[in-house]
Amino acid sequence: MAFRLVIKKILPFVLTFVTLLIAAVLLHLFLHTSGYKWVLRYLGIAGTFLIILSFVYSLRKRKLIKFGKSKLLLQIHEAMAWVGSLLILVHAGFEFDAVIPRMAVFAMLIVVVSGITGKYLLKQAKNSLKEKRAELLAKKLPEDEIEKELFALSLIADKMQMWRTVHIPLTLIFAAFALLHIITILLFWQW
Amino acid sequence: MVKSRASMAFLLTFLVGSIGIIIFPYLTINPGVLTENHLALKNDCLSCHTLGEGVKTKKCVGCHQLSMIGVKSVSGKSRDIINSKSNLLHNSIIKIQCTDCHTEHNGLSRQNATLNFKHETLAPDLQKECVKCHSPQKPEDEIHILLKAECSNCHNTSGWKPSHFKHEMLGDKKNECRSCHENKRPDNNLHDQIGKTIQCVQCHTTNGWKPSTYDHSKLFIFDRDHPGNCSNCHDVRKSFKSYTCYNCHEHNSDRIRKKHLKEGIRKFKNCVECHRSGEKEIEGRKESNKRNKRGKN
Repeated sequence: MAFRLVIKKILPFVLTFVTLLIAAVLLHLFLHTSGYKWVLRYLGIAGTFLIILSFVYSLRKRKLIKFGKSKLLLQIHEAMAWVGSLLILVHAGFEFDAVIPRMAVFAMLIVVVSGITGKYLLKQAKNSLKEKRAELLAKKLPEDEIEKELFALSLIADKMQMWRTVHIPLTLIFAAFALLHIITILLFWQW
Repeated sequence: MVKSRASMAFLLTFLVGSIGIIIFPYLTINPGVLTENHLALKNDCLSCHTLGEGVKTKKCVGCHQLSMIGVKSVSGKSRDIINSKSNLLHNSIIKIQCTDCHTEHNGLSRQNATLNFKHETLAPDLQKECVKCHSPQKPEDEIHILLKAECSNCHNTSGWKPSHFKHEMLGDKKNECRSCHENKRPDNNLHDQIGKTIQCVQCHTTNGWKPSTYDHSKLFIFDRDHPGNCSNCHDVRKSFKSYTCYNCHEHNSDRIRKKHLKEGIRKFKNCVECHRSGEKEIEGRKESNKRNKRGKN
């Protein structure tokens, strides 16, 4: 039972993260050995832009913009953040000379794990709602009554709220390290 | 609540990070180890970098005067061993930035600091005078001893290989193939029998070993019934100079003798003298008859 739970519910999320790491290592090694090392620098820029673009979802969620469906924008946010993180990991490689860029990468990985956890919690929440709705429907309660009951299902909302208090500050810690890295590059590098 | 906590996390990280960068720049933002001689500057980024502009030549030459490179150290002390090559190189470069050739943060070794060097940065005249820098590297093999031409006639600045050697550069010695290619002479009966009296150029050209220019058709033209398989006519273990046409059932010595005597031909041992191919038409006969007549006269 516990094994099935792990395979069915947790493994897909773990695989999302493990695939990210493996793909980053392979791509980095490929570019390093095939004479395209110069591309690595630009992957950092591309990855950063992808991650910034993925925040359209956050703007929509906070009603700062009004276009697009939240569900679709969330999926785009997940995909773009994953690809952006991959490009940044490939860009960063395995050199550990400077602390600031390393901290940025480390913070980014924590944010990715946090994001994957959020995705898992959201799926769990949806499943709980579905089960609760089915249960209430079985009791033959009127629709408005069911909606009220579901609205009061605060347990899930609490969990997601708790997750948000971790995910958003972590994202901003990553943003601070990334910004410091970008500023120092702009200050010291010759473009 | 989340907003303020997130803002606090951002500001705190940015602040701590900035302080870290200012106090410990080498630890926090250095992208790689400096070369040994620059290590003393490791926490003084601005001694080489100009904010917003990168590394400018004016800062490099502030310490490294071009005319003194290879002669005196940065501190002004004369070097025990003068590096004239380095001095010549740095004094003949055309308008370029130091960073066009030199890199940093690439490891302790000075070798890694010149990975970007390109010969194109040198003055055009010096680019052609390779030996000024590379004289000890000139190979002392058979080819290079014979050559007096500039290296750039065969090699380019991208690398020693591939080279574009032309045999014409050897002048009169271009036909002395064996002085360079002795070890490449094929180890087979044909070439063993040729010996050293015949020059390679009689059958081969400097464009390549194959195709050979040896023209067997001047002696005998191959066809479907007479393919160019040496052992059909020659005893390849003994000599390619001798041959026989009697190795097949078609050419029987008794029958050939009778046929020729019937026509009054007595000199028929050297078949190809008259029969230059498998065709019935006798191409070499007239010439042979003339020779026979001249012989009688």
